[in-house]
Amino acid sequence: MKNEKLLNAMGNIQDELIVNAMPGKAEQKPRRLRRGLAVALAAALVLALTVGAGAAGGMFGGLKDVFAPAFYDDGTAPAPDPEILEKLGRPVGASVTENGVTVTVESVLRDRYTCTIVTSVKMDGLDGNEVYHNWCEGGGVLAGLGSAGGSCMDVTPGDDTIQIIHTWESDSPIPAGKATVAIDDIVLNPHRFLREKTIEGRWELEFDASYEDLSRDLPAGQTLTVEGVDVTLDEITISPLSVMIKHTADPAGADLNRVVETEPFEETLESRVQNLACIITKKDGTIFSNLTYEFDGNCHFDSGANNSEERDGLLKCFCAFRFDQMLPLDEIESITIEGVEIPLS
Amino acid sequence: MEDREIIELYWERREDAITATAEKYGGYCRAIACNILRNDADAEECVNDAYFGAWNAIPPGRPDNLPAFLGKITRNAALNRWKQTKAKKRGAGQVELALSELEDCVPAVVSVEQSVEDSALTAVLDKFLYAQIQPKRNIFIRRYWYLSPIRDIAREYGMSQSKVKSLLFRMRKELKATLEKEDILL
Repeated sequence: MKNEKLLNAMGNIQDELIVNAMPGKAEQKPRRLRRGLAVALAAALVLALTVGAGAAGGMFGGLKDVFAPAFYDDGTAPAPDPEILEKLGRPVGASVTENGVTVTVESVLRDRYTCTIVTSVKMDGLDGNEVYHNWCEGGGVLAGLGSAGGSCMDVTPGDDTIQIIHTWESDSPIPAGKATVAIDDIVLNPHRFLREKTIEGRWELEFDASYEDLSRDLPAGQTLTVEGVDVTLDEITISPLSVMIKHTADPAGADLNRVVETEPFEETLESRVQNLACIITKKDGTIFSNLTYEFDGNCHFDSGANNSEERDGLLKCFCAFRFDQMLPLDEIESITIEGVEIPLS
Repeated sequence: MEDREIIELYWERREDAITATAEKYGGYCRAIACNILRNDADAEECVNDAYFGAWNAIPPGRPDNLPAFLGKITRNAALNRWKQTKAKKRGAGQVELALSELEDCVPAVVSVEQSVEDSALTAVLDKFLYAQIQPKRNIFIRRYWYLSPIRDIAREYGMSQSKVKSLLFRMRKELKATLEKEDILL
């Protein structure tokens, strides 16, 4: 068979190509779990633990370590500003154990529209696995925000503990105060294997997610064009952790399912007008850009969300991006959205 | 243990060469075999075959790149075993899917000329892959060298499965165009 010949010829490509593509090589950044994980299986045992505001903060060695998994550190990223960290972050340290698996909410780091929770999972023999889970039926996650994006990473190999980093990006302010993480059925996937093992149970934790709002609302109302579609910027909010843009698109009869090229991928016109090109320029000249992908080096947008809703023939859109490092606002020169520059000074 | 130290163990004909190989690259080899065979027991036998193959090949061989060397042996052994199991109507999995996808790359030109040698085909593949930006290149190799499921690739690269499929579809079209441009007849 001709295709089999091609498959065999692939077998002899250069060694360097094979090794560079090895499973696990893409793990330079925490991997995202699928969004919208399946709802709970029935009859799981419920355990809940409530922890007061700021509880257990003293059990950690230092703020930087507690929040480290929430950021991407390739060895060159600047350390997060401790003063900002104290205002936006909160060590938690709430744990619950079920079926030999201990789930701990280590920390919460948030601003008005995004939230990152670092959760650790510990059990005997966990090393060498990747871990994910289901969300419990009925939500119970950050005041009903729904399931999060997520990624898992092994911060300290050899300790049978794996960190899961849950991230939320929202188009409406995330409520402060008490938050809940309720997960069902820890799923283990031995690294580089296809087999999965599910440990049934429910792990539910409540904690305080209050914060000081350091977000800044930027001037809006600018008009621009994306792939021939008129777009008006309605709201732009930036914080040291994220940027959130609300905008209105007027498709004027354009086919929103049309596929447009956004190298290296392709997406529909609807997705393209939701996901505005966004470049943040720092005063030192470095940029954060979603025009590149995370493997290119200048992205620094660790996760994001976008959506739209049709109202009276218009698309009410939002997109939000969470940075992979802390970005103090006084270090930013400007933000450029689809070519429209908005100075911060 | 460093790769060169493992290779030295093979040269000294010490059986702990196999233990060291299994410790360092057992998971890697097993993943390749599992992707192809979808059967843990078959994959385990295949990995043992690969260790035996390495034992027979070193010496006289002294691979420059031990994981690639082991990976190639494992992949070949697993594909051979897949052909046997396919004959027994077992082992449906990523190979069938990958093969059906690779149909897209077969040039449409029909010729009575002798088909291209495998080595020439591999050279074109190398050139094609090096011309791609790294994430695209690695995703293509993950699918068609490692035979990794789309789901696993999507999870590892933080992409949706549909984006991975879309990316692979476009790359297969590009590869087909490249093969036709190079007058490669399969």
